[in-house]
Amino acid sequence: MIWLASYPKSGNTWLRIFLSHLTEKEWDPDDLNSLPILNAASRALFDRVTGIEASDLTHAQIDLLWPRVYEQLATGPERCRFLKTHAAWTCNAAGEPVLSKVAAAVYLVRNPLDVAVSFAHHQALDVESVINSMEDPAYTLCGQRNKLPIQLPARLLSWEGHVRSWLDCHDISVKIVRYEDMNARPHETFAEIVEFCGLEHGPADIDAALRASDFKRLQELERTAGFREKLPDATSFFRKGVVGSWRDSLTDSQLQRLVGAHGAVMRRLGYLDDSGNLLC
Amino acid sequence: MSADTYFAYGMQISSDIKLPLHRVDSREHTAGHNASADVVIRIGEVPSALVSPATITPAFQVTSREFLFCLPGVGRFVVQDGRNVCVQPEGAAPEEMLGLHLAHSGLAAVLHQRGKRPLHASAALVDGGCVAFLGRSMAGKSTIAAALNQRGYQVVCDDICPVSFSGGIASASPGTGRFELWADSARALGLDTFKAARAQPEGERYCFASEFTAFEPPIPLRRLYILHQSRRKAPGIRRQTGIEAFQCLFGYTYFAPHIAGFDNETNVFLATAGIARTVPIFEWCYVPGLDRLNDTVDTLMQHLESHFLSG
Repeated sequence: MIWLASYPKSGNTWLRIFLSHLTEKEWDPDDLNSLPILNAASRALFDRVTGIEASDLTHAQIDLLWPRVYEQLATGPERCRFLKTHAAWTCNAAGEPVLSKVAAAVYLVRNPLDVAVSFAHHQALDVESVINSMEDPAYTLCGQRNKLPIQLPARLLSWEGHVRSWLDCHDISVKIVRYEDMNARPHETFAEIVEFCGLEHGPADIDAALRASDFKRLQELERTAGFREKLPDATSFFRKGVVGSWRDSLTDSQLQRLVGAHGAVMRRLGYLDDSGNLLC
Repeated sequence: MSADTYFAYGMQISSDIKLPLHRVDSREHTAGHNASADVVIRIGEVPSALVSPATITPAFQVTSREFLFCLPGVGRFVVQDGRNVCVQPEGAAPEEMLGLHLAHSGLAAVLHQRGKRPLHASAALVDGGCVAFLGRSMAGKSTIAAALNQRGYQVVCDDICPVSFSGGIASASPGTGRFELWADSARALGLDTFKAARAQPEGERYCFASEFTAFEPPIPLRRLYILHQSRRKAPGIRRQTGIEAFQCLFGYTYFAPHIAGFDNETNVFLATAGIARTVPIFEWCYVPGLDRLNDTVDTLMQHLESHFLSG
């Protein structure tokens, strides 16, 4: 099994659609709402595999059971090939990785400046709120305790903490891929992912899957049939899909906050040079 | 060791562990277990695995006679022959956490072992019969039943609806005499969560009493609605028949799809087929949103009135 892991709005859906085109021959490529690669934090998935209801459990108890759930998905009759996750690489109260050691991972990372703009649009929030979340070391998706979200809690940590957790993960094999490279050199970058995943698809298959997951095509599919992963208050899921849109959206103070909070990891990933100049 | 006596799902339960159920009477708090109890829950040693289980999930194992539930950091319990439950708490987990799982998974296993079909459903008393709402977590089962309660139709059971099929008739036993709601649903229904007891130690899920107590006799099961919330699919209520109805009913039985180990499979299939044949089943797709709950329940009432309610 392979984790398709990323902080939100970092190319995960693009990769899922690409891999679905490549590997799921029975999937109707015009039906984005039946994407065959599941979200690892799905409540329905947890309830189905464990046979009990996550709503009866605390978040800590859910985290203790997740490794067994993923082991079953990887090795049981379902034999999941890919699972999507936005979680950071963290351990549960027993000191065991929540995502288990049963899979390798493709980790997608994107310039946090673009993430902030895209994530704000996705959640229909102002950029300041999203910058606050990206700095929050305890940030958790779907961590509400006053209602029952469709997804179970996924601990993201801060953006910097999220990226570090995956860059420094030594428990499993991790392939790090920059969103910017997926955009600039799609064929080469996706071919590397395909090889890492152990898939035997040649250049022609990869090009066909890239054409089928072209951003404009995805926008058109969303316009005609909707996309269930769009949040109710957002105007669209597939917004721009470009590199550097932060230049038109962030104020100087927002830029300084993001670079101040995440600069060290941005340097490590080539988004900043040693003099502090922005490179993407 | 002292035990308390409770009543739920048509059974008297004597338990060493405090359960989130209706206690029969404080005078029943005795030095031993109530001899007339249908189910006895004792603290003791519990094995960490069953011998040759037919079903294994990350949370439980099943043989034809036993159900073993294990939750790391909380404890484990084994349910035997639809009557005896042995519990081994683990670490410093609060007793209420074990009680919650005993009252849900534990009693659902008891019902399976007693040959009843514990549907994953909440239900209301409508015109002398039981109308049940089936669905997964988040489908709105408890909220719809509670909304009917607000309109004068008592909640018969919540989350688990035990159904028997005998002599060609399906009947539902009452649940626990209460229902549970998350804070957002409770507030949408105007229910005061300030004085309500929490149903779960961590989450804001609250308990509310129903006038339909756990002591009522079984009532005929009149209708089943399978709930689906969707913003994309066309809303509406559609009758299901034949294999479609059977599959729905089977899929919304507690512990599905892991129930094969519980019982003689033929019995399970026959009972499920009998219920599906004699009780009308409808798939109800509606637009989610607590702000439109009144409209949603109006739709249900219109459907009930045009197809079911007398007068």
